Amino acid sequence: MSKKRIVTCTINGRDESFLCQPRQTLLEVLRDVLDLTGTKEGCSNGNCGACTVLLNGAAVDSCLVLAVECEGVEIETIEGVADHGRLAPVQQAFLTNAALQCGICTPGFIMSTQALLHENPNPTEEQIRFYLAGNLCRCTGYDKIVRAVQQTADHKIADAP
Amino acid sequence: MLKTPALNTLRALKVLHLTAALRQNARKARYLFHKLSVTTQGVAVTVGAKRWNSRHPADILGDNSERRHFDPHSSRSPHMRDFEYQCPRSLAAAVALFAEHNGSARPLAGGTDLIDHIRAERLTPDVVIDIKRIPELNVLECSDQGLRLGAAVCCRRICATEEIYRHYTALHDSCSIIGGIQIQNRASVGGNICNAGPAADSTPSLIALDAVCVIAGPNGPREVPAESFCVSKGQTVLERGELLVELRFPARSPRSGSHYRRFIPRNEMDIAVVGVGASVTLDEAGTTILDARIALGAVAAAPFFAAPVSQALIDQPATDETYAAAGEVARQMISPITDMRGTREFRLHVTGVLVERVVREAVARAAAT
Repeated sequence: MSKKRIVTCTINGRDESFLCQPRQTLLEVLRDVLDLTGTKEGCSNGNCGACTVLLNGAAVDSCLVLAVECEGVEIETIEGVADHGRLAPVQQAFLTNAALQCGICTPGFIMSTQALLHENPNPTEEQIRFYLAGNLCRCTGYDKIVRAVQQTADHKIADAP
Repeated sequence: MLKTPALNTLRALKVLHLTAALRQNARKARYLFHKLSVTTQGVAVTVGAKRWNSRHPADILGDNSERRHFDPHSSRSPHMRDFEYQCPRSLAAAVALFAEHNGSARPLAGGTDLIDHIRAERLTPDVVIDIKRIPELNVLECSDQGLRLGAAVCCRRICATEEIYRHYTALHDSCSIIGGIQIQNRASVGGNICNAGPAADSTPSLIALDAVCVIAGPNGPREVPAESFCVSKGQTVLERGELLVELRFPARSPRSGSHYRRFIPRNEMDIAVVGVGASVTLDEAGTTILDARIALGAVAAAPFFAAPVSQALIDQPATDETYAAAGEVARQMISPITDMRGTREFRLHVTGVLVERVVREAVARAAAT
């Protein structure tokens, strides 16, 4: 059995160190070692995007990242989106637009949306659909999700000084 | 390791179970494995260890050989099999590591193929060597000499590079349609060609853009044209211990344009049924094709350079008739298979249509420069 290693990184703005085996994915460590169970496991092969987290600001499937690769990186998970218990605009928009049913895909969609709006604050519907193509939802269809993203973008632009 | 009588029972049961499994006595093996699981729960209860809530014999015995057979209904995916991880910071160190492990090591760049292969046990490396932190593999330089692209550069970084969009547009096209954004943020073009999938989306663009693969290895560096790099499905020219370092593209001639397009039944996130990469150079008047390179993907065991199709375009007028003739040559020269993604007949038809369209777009881009 390979020796466990210490990995030091930043998770949701906090410095964290954890022990992991080389074979453990970032998803396994987030859920089973760090108890950050908001990130969901779907297909475990990079198709569904349920496990999306931000690695140095870039959306990645955490099931396809080894935890040992994360030395020195900044990770953002769904737990870091709300601000002290107050929902972020994107979370509120998903609620308002009923953009979820079972909710397993939602954390992944929200993390992808965060990355999208950071890169492109005012995306077209086509850009939204293209950017979210790596996230699958088997309950709602995608229209409500796209509307939630559009609403988030609209509110952010309206709120900007 | 804890020593309790229950643990001895567990070890004995494990030996019996393995014996039954080896003798292919499935019923007995299943029964013993069930007993093993029940006893393991007992052990976990006996020693009262909180961390053993996964109730798996492997967690107590300290090996993972049974893990993937455990509880198929569990929502937890099985652990990957065990491997070591190394992260060299220089090319020399990486080459030495690959030599040391003599074929039992696998390079890790984006991991979007490798981790899935290891999980499914299609690949079983003892050592995974992370090559992302080697400077040579992260080069991205566009100059008068051409383009240097490190083998570990991810697709998103390629898409975000203005010079690639302007001069090596086919490569941009490929990288913007590989997987979703999450995959593009990790997956590299070097990994795509080394994985040697018949339907790889970036390889036809590399071939059309005349890329050269720069390889490092125990016997020194060497260069192989992209069109000769993939030998067959999953097979490349890489020898044991060798590593793809970078892809080198020649500088683009004036009035050149390129394009990659694939046919998929969905809008995105799919594997090519047919993929076509094209690069063309026009004469000064913009009416005659001076040079053309066409590459076809997903219609053979590896993407390949379609020399007859390219010949059918060179020194020909840039007209629809020429493109249609090239499409027909492409149909004549391929012999695709029927599989879950498309029948042979369908692939033959789509290849002709795609060649026409891709060449037309490449010519339009060349004319616009």
